[in-house]
Amino acid sequence: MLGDGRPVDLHKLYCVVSEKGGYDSVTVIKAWPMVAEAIGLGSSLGCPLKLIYAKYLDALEHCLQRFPAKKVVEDAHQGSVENLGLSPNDLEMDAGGFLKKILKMKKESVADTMPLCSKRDHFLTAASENEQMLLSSNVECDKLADFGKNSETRVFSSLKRKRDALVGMLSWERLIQEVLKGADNLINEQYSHALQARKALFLKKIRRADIDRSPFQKAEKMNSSINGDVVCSSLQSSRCNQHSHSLEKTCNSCCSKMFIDGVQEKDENHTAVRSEALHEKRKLRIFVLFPDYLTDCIPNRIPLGPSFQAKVPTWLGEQPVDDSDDLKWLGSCIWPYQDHEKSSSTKHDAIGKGREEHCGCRNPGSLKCVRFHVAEKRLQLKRELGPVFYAWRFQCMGEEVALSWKEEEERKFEETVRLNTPSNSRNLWKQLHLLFPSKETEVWLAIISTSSSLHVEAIKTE
Amino acid sequence: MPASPPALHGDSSLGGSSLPSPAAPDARKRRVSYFYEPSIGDYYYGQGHPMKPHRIRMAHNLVVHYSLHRLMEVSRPFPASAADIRRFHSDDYVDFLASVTPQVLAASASAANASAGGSIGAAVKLNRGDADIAINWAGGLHHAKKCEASGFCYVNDIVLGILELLKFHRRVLYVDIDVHHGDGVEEAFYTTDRVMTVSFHKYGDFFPGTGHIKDVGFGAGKYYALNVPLNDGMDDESFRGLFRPLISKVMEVYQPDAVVLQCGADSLAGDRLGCFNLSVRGHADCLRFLRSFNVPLMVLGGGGYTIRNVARCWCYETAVAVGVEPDNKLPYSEYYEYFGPDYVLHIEPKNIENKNSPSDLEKIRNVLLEHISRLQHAPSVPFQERPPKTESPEEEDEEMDQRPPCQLWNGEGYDSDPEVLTPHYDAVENHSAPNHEN
Repeated sequence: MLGDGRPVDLHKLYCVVSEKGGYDSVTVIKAWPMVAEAIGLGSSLGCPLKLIYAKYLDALEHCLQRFPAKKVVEDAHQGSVENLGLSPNDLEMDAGGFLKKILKMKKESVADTMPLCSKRDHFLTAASENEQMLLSSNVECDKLADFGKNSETRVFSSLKRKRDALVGMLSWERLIQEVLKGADNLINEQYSHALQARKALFLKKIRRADIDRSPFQKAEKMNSSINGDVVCSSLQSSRCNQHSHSLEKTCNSCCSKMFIDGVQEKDENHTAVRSEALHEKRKLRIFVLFPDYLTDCIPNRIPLGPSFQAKVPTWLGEQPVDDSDDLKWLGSCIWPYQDHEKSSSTKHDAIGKGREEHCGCRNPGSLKCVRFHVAEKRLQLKRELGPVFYAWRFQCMGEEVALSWKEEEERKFEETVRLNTPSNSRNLWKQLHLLFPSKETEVWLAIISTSSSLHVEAIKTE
Repeated sequence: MPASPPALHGDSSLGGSSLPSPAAPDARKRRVSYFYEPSIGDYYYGQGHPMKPHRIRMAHNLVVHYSLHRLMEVSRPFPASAADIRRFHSDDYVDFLASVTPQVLAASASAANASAGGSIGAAVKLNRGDADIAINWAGGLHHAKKCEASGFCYVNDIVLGILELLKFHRRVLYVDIDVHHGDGVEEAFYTTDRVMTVSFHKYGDFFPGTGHIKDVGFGAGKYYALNVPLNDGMDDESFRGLFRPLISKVMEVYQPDAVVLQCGADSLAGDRLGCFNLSVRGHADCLRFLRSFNVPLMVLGGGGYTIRNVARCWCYETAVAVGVEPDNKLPYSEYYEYFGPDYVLHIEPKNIENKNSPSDLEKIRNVLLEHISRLQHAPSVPFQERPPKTESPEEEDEEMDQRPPCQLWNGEGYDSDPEVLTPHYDAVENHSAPNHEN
């Protein structure tokens, strides 16, 4: 959504940008205003649109782009473990970042249940690698949406907003799927890799859910509603994790089951040779992925990448101090003020001193007494600080501000205060702002605190 | 030699302005530099908005009426320009900030420039060795991300300040006692070991939602992010029971060359948005403790939405920085009426339940101490021009990194009594060696 409340069609945005060659090339040819126009917004909105794209869609683009390049490399070094070991980690980071963005976008960072649902959803889409299954998965997605709705109304009947978010996300997912349906086989395959990674994330999520207990029950319900083998196996294995600590064993069983699944699915679509290669790849990938997830189990919710982390230079030893650039940062020294060095050194006993216990006033503690002492202290400060008093704008603080008011302004003000009792102080504020649009709040605070003690409480609560 | 970390012994008195430690005479005066932008109170976020820059002016007013300014150097910061902000924030985001300028944003954007200028200035002061402690109450806007504004924060002055510190300091420790998680700073330095971030915050159904105890950093930065998730009603004693052991362990293991403390005052009792129950004294105890290590220290503001208490807190912390224990009876000032009915500096904690049970706190402490123990002692930041005397033999390196912790302060940029700084560090090293073997 843009600052003015207009929604942005992310799907359309993605299509338009990828038509123009992706984020980088659009940026290079400065075509963001054109993109904005193409999706039906004014060309002036190019800049915010770019931010939106970078925030929500960039990770997807990278995810999809990475594979053609990776594939070449992988084909060249087939069987090279290190190489394959790298790519899943990248993928994991990307998919993680991407997921996080989707989640963020839907504004449901509060509840743990939503990420779980979304990951189920991703899992479902992962199961639908060929086109037949894609369709059925859409049905399943709907089911899931219903299920999600039901269970959420049951469990969190108050969180309706989130339910809507879920439905919204599902439809968005479907859009993505349509994009992919139109794309060629290669992309489809790449996407499945991305999904594979999410599957792994899903597993991780479930294991986290184990720790959190309650969401896990929901996952079990899911288990019964979808008779997906992999879900079962992963759930069971993660349950095993909870009870026994034999992480590697369950990891292995997990992997083998998913591996078999992978074989079946792939055989339908691809040639034997190709799927053979894929097996190899996936096998390795899963083996690299899983130990990392299950043994460490560190939530990877902090987005990673150059658009999130600061550029930290490596330490090169001490550099010569470059005064020319740094000096300006020292700002302008206001205190110690030269002429006052001497006098200040003689008065060090006053440092940290509060007000005197007793005073010679006739009615100690009365409004009159306090006003007198405040004014006294102020004069003393003025004498001591000299020009610094003005440099720090003490003349704009407190009662003195009242003296700068014109008589007419004062009359208007008094009237407004009189007409408004302390109980409807909000009303007073509104009226004052209408009457004196040029005055700062600071002025109000100062004036009111000195002229009408009645309103002090109101100001404080404000 | 006792095996406990140096700062844990002899600190029983809360009231003193220093930690009496035989090796570290903390009572020594620190050279304090303080940044204040006189126009800061003018920026107004709008009626009903909890962010009130006015609180910084109130704090300054109290500081001056207590005459604390006489012990400091007070400067007006140089406002940071868009180019300076780009050192951290992405180009697009900076352009975006410049293009979206309705009244409220414009005002707060210039407030942000002053706050960033102050924090960078504070860093430069420390870099040059002009000050031991640099204060910028207008800073501490810890939520802003590289490409995104968040939680009243448009420009992350902390990251900009730390980046400046990193020019002259190998390792910087960032400590955050705002009630909200310091997510922007953590994210910015999530993958580096040159900055360690430690955040104490309310976790669970609370803005910004991050700061899980298991978020520990990534890649080279793994275990260089520490999160202390807490629950409502955190009081002085519980807070101290976590802060002191964790921070002294971090100081011992990580040996930062400089420390940045974000003093968000919304962790005080009775805050409009916060839910902790700290007194001003308990809050300032964090600063007192960090000050005792005698490492260049940058002190920043942050949250704080009950403005009279924010002013109290930051005034008292300024006093702690300069080593003065101010009277509890507030001096007469222009804002005297704000501090009724008692007109005193310190606030009483509220009578609310502390939802952090001792066993929870114990668990958190143990988990985090375990995380810290996985840190490599004083991570190796490669540098070529190490003076020969500091080249320690390799076997010693393995056991305990004995590099002098602060190059700059023993080096050229520092011209007044550097020996005062060293004894404390000897103590740290002597203490930690036996400790490490345990």
